Amino acid sequence: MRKLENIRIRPLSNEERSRAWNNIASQLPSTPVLSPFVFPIHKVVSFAAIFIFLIGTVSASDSSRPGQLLFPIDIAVERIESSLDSSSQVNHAQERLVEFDATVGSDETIQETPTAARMEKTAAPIAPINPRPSDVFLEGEPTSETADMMMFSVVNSGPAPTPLSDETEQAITTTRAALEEILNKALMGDDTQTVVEIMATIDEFETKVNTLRGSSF
Amino acid sequence: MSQDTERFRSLVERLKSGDEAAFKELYESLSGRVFSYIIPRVGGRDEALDLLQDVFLDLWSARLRFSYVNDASVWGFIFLITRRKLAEHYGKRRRDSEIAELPQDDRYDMDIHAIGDVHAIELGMKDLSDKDRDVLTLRYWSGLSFAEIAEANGKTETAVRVHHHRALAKLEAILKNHEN
Repeated sequence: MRKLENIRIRPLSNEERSRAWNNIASQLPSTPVLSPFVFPIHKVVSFAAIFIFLIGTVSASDSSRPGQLLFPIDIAVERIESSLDSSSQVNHAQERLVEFDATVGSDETIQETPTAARMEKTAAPIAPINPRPSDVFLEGEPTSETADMMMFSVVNSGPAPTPLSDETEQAITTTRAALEEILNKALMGDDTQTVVEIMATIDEFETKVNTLRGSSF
Repeated sequence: MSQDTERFRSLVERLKSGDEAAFKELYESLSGRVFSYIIPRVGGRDEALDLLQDVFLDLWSARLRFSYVNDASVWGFIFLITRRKLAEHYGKRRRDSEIAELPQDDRYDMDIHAIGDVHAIELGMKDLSDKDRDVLTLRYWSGLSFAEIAEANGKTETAVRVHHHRALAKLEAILKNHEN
């Protein structure tokens, strides 16, 4: 303890203090000074990467179709556009229709099978399970099950509706919802012409859907 | 340190705005104690002076990250930088595989026999933990009071006194061991 208390270091002399300060001062201009207007390079690179990624995602989403991963982004971007410019609503409705056509066009079942052939295809499996009335009554009283079958064959005497692929059904649901949303927004505005054009687009869409289903109602 | 409160606050604010005159004034106030803190941990005065310059250059670079709370925060910040520079210095020496030079006598104002005792103490302090070594260095080399050490380390004065007492006991045991 006493030895420690007796320690007398030679203090920093004035000459040493000045010499050290001169060295410090000579290096100050080269010392990087943080400025609020200059960002570190790694931050700039990160921001640029995120910006490019977002721009790329938005661009790619423009050509996406219903059911695809980027489709909700496409819709979100269009919502923003609609809020800024109501005249773009008609374009968006038509774009939904084009996307729907593209999605359905990629469905091989629909594209490659003519309507008549499709009707045959779907009717064929049903035929054997339709019992002839004579078969039923020969074996006794018709059960409720066989009666239902008979009713089915009577009601569906025309061509049976074509079952669509899951992808097509999904596209129909998504496109219909998107078109309804666009129409609702247009109805809140005062541009009658826009509403009329969107409704025409919706009619066109429903006609396409009915055609796909193989029915005319 | 408390009497310098307003002066330190003003100097730190001016330093943050890039005022070199304020920086020099701070250097004049702090450099002596920082140098005393460095000197027992290095081989000679030139080495200590080099480190002192590095510490203040780092203080200048980091000035925007520092906010004045009280005087203790100034000492805490400067000693934090000093400890980091010392750690870098030791790391560099290890990487360069330098053989540790014998401590130079130009660090002390003492006769040759007394300096022999100090060398023995320095050797013994190498076996202490960083915290124990720190409290003894601040007390006997930098000449800080217990209150000042407490402020610089963010502890109570009582805690520093207890820590100091234990560190002394450990050092004494180590020195006895070395003598044997």
